[in-house]
Amino acid sequence: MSGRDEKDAGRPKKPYVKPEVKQIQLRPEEAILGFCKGTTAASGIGNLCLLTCPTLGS
Amino acid sequence: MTERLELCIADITIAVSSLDLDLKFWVGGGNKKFIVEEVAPNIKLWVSWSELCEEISGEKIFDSGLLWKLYELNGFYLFRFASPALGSSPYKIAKMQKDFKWGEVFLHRPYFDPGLAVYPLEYPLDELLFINFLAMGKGVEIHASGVIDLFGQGHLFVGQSGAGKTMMANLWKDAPGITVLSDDRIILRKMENTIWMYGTPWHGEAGLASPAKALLTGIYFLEHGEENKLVLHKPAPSLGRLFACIFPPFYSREGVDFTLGFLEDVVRNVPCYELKFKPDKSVVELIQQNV
Repeated sequence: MSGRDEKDAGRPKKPYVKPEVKQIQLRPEEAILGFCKGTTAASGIGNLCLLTCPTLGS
Repeated sequence: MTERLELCIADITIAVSSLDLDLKFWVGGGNKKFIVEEVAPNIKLWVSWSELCEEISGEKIFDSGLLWKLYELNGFYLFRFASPALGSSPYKIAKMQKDFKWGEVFLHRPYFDPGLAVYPLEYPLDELLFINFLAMGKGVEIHASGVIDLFGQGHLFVGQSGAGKTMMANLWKDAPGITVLSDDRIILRKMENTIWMYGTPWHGEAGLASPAKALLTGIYFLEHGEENKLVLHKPAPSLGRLFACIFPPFYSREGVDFTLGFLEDVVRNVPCYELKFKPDKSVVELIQQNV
C-alpha cells in the first residue's frame, strides 16, 4: 500500500463534484499594452496617446 | 560626453546611454524614484537620432493594432512605434537582442521638438522591454495594485481596468505604516523559493509608485460590492484569473510557457481570494484582520 493510501485509509470519501468550467474574460487590448497610460509631458513629441489611442485606460 | 540614465525596477537595472551631443534625457513622474547610479546593468540600451524609413525590413511577428509592431530581422527583434497622427514613418524603433540584454533605440529626428529633452523609454517601450526580459525566467508583470502593510507583508490587488485597483490603493495609502507599491502595475519575482512583489513606475491615475518590495502574502481578485466579502479561491481558477491580468509575450512560446509555470508556482504558494469590497477603509481592516 502506498503512503498516500495509508493516509487516506481512515478518511471518509469526499462526495464527487462534477468538474466545472469557468469562463474568464480576457481583454486583449490591455494584455498587449493597447491602452494609453496618461501623459508624458516632456517627451518631446507631445501626447501620442491622445493623438492615437481610441481609449484611455490602465 | 555620454548621456546616461539608469533605472532599477524589480531588481533589474536598465542603463540607457547616448553619444549624440544634442540628445538629452528627461525623466519625470514615477520614474524618478527608480533612478540609480553606477549599478551593473542587466539591460544596456544605446539611443541615437536617426532618419527612419516608412518601410521596415524583417518578418512581422506581432501587431498590437495600435502604436507598436514587432518584427524579426537577422536574429534581432525590432519594435516599431508609429502613429498616423505624426506621419508614415515610425517615431521610434528599438532593435533588441533576443535575450533583451542589449539593444539600440533610434528616434526619428524630424518628429521631435529640437532642444527638448526626451525620455527614450517612453511607454510602451519600457514595459515591453521588461515584459520580455521577465519572461525569460525572471518573473511577470501584472495588472494590479500592491501595498505593504504595517507588518511588512505584501498584498496584491488584481483586476482589469475598472476593477478598483486605484481605488483600493487610495484606501490604503493614508493608513499608518503602509507603503503603496503601485496603483496599476506590479512585478512578481521568485527569489530564494519565495514570491516577492515589486513596485513599478507605471502607475495609474493615483500616481502611486514605489521601488520597494515585499514578500507576497495574499492575492485578492477585486470586485466592487455593497459589502466586504473575502472568499478563499482555489489555485486552478486563480491561475486563470491571474493570466487574464498579465502581459504575456504572445509571440514567444518559451515566454508564455515560462509565464504559465511561474503563475502556477504563485498560486500554489500564495493564498488567493475573491474580494468584494465597498469603497471605504473597512476593507483595509478586513484584510489586515485576515492576515
